[in-house]
Amino acid sequence: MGRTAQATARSRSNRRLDAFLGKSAFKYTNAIVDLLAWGFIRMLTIYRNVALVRTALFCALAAVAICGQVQAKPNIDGAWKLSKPQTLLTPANGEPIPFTAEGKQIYDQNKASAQQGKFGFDEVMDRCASPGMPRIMLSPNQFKIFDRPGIVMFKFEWNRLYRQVDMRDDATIENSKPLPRSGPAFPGARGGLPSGGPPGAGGPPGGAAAGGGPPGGFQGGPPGGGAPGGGPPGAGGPGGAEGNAPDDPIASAEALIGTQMGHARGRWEGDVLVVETNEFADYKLIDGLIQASDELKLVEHFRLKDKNTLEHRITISDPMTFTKPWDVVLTYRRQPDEAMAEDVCLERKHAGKSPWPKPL
Amino acid sequence: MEKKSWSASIGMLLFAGAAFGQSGPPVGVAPTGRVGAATPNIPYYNDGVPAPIGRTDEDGFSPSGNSLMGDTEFSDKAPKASADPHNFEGAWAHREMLRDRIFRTILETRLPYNDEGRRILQHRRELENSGKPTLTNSGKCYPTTEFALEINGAMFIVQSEKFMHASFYEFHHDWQIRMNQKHETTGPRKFAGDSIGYWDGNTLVVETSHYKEPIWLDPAGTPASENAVLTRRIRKIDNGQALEMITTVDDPKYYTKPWSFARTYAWRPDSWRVREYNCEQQVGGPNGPGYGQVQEQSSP
Repeated sequence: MGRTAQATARSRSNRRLDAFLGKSAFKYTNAIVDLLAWGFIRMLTIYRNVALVRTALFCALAAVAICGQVQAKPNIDGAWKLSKPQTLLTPANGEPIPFTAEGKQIYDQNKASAQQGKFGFDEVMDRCASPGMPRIMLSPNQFKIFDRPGIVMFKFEWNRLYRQVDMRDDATIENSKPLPRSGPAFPGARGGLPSGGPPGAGGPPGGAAAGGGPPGGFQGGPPGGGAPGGGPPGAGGPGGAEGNAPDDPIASAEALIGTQMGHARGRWEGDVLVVETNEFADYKLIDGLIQASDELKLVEHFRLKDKNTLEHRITISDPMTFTKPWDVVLTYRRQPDEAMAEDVCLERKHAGKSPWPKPL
Repeated sequence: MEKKSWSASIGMLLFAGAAFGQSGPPVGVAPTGRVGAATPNIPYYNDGVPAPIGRTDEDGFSPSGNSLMGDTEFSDKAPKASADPHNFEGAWAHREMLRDRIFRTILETRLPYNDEGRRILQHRRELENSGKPTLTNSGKCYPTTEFALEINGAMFIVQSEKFMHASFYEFHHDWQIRMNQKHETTGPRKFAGDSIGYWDGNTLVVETSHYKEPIWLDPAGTPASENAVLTRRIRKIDNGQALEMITTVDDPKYYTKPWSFARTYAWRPDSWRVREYNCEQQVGGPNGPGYGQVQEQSSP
């Protein structure tokens, strides 16, 4: 019913009510008809109002829910630093670390070495290698968080390391893969420019990359080895093409042997950033003394307790090292958003300084 | 379409350069008196610049075709780079064939080396040919933006109001750009120099200077001094799906005049998760930096 028609019907019903109250009895029949008509219209109006109220209520609730979702994702962007310096992970429940026998044995060995000032078991202390997760979160320096669509990036001041938490869903990850190549194994095999190159400018067939990679494969190659042709000496030929292509041998190798930072995927659950990480390298230290296996898995919950306090609960599980999962809670304080210092661990080490705070 | 025309333009430029003899084959004799005593096994161009040998052909391309990009394609469902011309966030990697050496300027001319520039380049080539290549900062896992920008491996860019960071797979390097700020003239200098940036329309202009040490502009050893000023103009091209970076090198110590070169980086959704390069694990040990290599002398 249109707005004008409804107004007309309402005024008509009012007039009829007036007529009913003021007319003679012989007109009762008409009056009753009028009364019924008025009642019917009134019912429709009431029903409509109820419907309107119901709709408004629904919208309000939806808005609250949406706003709640928006507000539920807190702003964790910015610079952070461990609120209280620590080099070792301790269970949040105050109980002893639930070591397996093997885990305890390695821990005791590492502890004894550290007490003697010998850190050969620790590649961070020994050569400034990446502490990886979760040890990098014990960094004495600041780190910055960039929460962006599809990714949460942690940038650590300590030796300029970074950690990426993949926030994409499975479909997006799948869609991000390059389409299968119809040509040679890698673009260089045909030489010349990728497109638009000069006629006949094709280079020689693809072979071993300058960085020491496997012949005929992706450029670059796994880390290791100098560049016989004069590439960056010492740094070896780092892995080549990025990507998750199914035919990417480096990606397969990385998943097989694991890394220090592991493979992290995350999601927001209300106001909590949940991150699950696996695919770690074997024999890695998770703090200054505890060595884990490649069965290590982390489940992290980042929660902004207040604007300047970030709580980080880490559930650590590794059946080779621990009899059961255990929790660690770290707390970070927000820092002024200033430029990060250029930290060069090996330079510090060569200057006689400790690469990382000593555990004992 | 824009990509094709850009690539075609570059291709035509290179073709024109070769066709009109601006490069030409090495003449084989080092002009003495300009770069010092000639080394017999190093070919030279007639302007006294050592020709690239071994790793690169005469056009400066690596013989291995060391390119990340080539004709890599993605489905229409693949995530795209932001449409915002001021938003560079995401993963990018070289779109062109990698060059071990910046051999020509953007104008297809040779790099305007002065005598000192030629001398240090020759010295590096001699070390390389002798089987004792120079130890660079990249070989020590020290910060080097220029090196990281010139070799393979992706970079992931994040931005905030005050900073832009490019995280490189190579050497886990971090290129930090302080936005709308002045150069730090006090305090210790950095290996990566001090980078400040501002927007000129839709072009990000980044000026890097105040290096701690002399730098290499590419893996072949194209030199720049610690007082060089590198100005990079970076903008989105190809509907925002590629970055064009034009770098101008102003370094009177090694060059007679400022010169520029161009690079492009393609949007790489498959590199969203930049791989981990545990550089120091390889070179940080007792037999690490310097092992079997030569530390370059500042005055060869």
